[in-house]
Amino acid sequence: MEDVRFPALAATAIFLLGVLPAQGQAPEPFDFVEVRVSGTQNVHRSFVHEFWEHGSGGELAAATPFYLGQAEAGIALHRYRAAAPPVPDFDATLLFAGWGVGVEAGSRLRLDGGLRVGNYRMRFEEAAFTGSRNESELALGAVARLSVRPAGPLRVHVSGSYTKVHTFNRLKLWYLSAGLAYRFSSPGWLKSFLR
Amino acid sequence: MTRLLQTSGRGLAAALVLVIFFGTAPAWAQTPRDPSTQVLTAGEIAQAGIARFSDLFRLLDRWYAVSLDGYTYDASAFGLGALQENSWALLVDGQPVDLGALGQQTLNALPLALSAVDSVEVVSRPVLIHGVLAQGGLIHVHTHSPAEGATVRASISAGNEVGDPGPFRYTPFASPNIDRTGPVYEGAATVAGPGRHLRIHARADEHHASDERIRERVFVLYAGEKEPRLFVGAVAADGAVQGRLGRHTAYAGFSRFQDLAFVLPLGREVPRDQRLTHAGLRGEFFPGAATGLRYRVSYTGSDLAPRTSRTGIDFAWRQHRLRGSYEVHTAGAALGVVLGVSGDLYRSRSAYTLTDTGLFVPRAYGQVRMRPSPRTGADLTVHLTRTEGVLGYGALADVRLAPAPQHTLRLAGTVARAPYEAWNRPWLWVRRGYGFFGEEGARVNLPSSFDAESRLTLDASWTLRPSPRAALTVFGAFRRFTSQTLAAVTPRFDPATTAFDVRTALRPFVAGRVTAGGAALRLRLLPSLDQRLHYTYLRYPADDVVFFEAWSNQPWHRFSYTARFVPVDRLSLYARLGYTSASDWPAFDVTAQETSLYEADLPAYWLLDLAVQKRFWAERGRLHFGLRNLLNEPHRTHPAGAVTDLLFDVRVQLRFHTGG
Repeated sequence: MEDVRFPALAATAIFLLGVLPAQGQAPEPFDFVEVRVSGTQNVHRSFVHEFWEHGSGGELAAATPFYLGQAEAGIALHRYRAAAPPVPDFDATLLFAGWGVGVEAGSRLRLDGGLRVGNYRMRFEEAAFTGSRNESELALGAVARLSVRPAGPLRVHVSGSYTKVHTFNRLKLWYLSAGLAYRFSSPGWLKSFLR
Repeated sequence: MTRLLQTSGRGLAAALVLVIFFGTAPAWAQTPRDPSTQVLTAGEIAQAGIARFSDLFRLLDRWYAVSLDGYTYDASAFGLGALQENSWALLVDGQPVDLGALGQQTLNALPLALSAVDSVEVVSRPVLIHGVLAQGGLIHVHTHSPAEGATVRASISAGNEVGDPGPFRYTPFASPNIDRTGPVYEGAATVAGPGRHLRIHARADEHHASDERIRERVFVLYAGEKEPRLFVGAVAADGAVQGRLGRHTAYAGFSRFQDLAFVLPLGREVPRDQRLTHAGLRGEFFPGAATGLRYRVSYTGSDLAPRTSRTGIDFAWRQHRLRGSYEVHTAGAALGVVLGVSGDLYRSRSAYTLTDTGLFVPRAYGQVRMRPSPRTGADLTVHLTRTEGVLGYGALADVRLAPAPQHTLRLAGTVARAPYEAWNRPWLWVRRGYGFFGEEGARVNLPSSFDAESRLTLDASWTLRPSPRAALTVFGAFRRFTSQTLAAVTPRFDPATTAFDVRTALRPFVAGRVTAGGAALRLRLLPSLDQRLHYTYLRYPADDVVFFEAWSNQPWHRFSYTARFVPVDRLSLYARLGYTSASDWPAFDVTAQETSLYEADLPAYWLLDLAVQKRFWAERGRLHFGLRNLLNEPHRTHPAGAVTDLLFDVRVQLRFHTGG
């Protein structure tokens, strides 16, 4: 699975470049906010899985039209349980910002792709350890999302994402996610703040 | 179809050329700038994500700087001095500031907030400014002219280098921890009215000295409870009034730097508490008149106090410096004259008995500025000093000629001789009895006498401006040094501590030459895209072994490409790609054979920095995110220094303004 990470990032980049020309009728920057709630599932095994089981997690993000494409910011929670003690369990929080573009297929279907950068903060459940129980590291990633709007401002989406945490031995994480998104017009104060 | 593509391709190329040279971009200011001067504006500094003064070295095209801890740098300006000399000068709003403490200048100890900076002017040739003969280059920091009303600025910055062990620290695959950089906090408040202002600012900074290549060495003397850290705290204030008697500014600042300085004669990092007090008064009588009077007086106190350590090591060093200058200037359309006197009075205090605690460096100088036509100009400067009975002099000539509107030629030359004492170097005080190095076991051999140092410098450049949006400069430089006193060091690796046992021999009468050259191209393809390419070449023949060893740690080739793209008013993108060729550190040859921890030949490296910046909340907020060394090339600038990998940094700046 690790061998496909470069094609995955390359495919994302090609998708972004290919979709850019279609951004002509994009809404004004910060015109609306789309709040997304997702459940995530780690879907592959890598080096980190030799020591920890890493399964489901959650993600909360807010996206808004940017000058080109969409900008997003969010938080994802990941849990790691020791598979080979004595390593401790740990929880990780990914605070991220991202940028991406999308294409509409008909009035209800939308395909998005984007890149993410963030801080991966790990908190170790290790009472005996005398050093810091927390550690932060740079995370870079890519995401592809397919969403459907069944009615009104609500959307249902599924997505696949790749996150690479730049620890000395990299954490390479693939996820499948599914969730709901709700879109609303940005209040005036928020628009003027972001602009 | 093929013909269509060819036609389209030619059309595209032609359009590109037209855009480059005849596009609708606004023209740059036509004031000819000395190609030896690089100006970093507050906007560029912010776009590049600079959060510390020492990070400015990353942006300097002709300066080369090295660091062991990534915080304190030794710098050399385009062949004007060896790295060990740190002979560059620092001015803030025209006022000389002495950051040096026993030969080390830490730019981050400057009692000033970076957010108070309007621009930084960096000169890569000798220059006389406000009575200061900056033979080793100049960094001139200009602060903002306060806007009328009340202004508050605040910022926070933090970064993190990749490569932490993460969860693997609990496994057999554990690796050393790599700490964050910062955070850096800054705040400034200004109240200003017509012709007067009062400003206070403060800064707090933190840096980790925990890279695995230096960590064990740092712990030889460091005795803190946590990981070794450097702390800087600084406060400063300035105020100005303007009236019938002219404009006068008073300022005062204090910084405290809890340092872990690598002291080469001791071969290890030494905990110390450096306190810098700086205060002064400057002003000008009759500004705007044909003849004016300028004065500057300042006091600098530098105190090296002990910081908690395993052995209680104490530099026991304090130095007071009084500095004053007074000059008369006349300015006409074609001729201007500056005449001035200045002086530095040092008083050193130490627990070691000094044979002489004082040092006085008086100076007199004169400058003639000629502008016979808009296309020609010349500045001629003479500078005299007499220190400890030794005469020093400097003569500078700077000639500018524009034979055609698109062409500018510039030639600058300096002949200077400076008494060794005028540099206030630490070895002067060791000779006078400062016994710290000897008591701590350093083996230092001093020459029987210090000779006055002489130098000759030539700088020539040709600038072509084919359009208002393009400028090409080709430049060359020559430096000749005679009677220099340089330190020849022989470090021996101690495997028990990873520190060094160093023999330092001060060698007098060292001579050598440096030739340098390069080219710079600046283009504005689009109104929103500003690009700059810069290449420099530096060579130093191996005529003198000591001279060559002191210079071979500066790379021959350096290249940089900088792009600033502002697609919309409130969003900017910044990129800088830099190349530095290999450098040799012959003094570390033996050490490199004894351990893999240190290297004697540092390989070439490429660095790519990317940053994005978004302004928000009208003009109040600015959010920066940057990735430095995006190619993740592990590189070091000093054989015994830390290795830097990819890192990211975030900075948030806020500015509130009322009135005016």
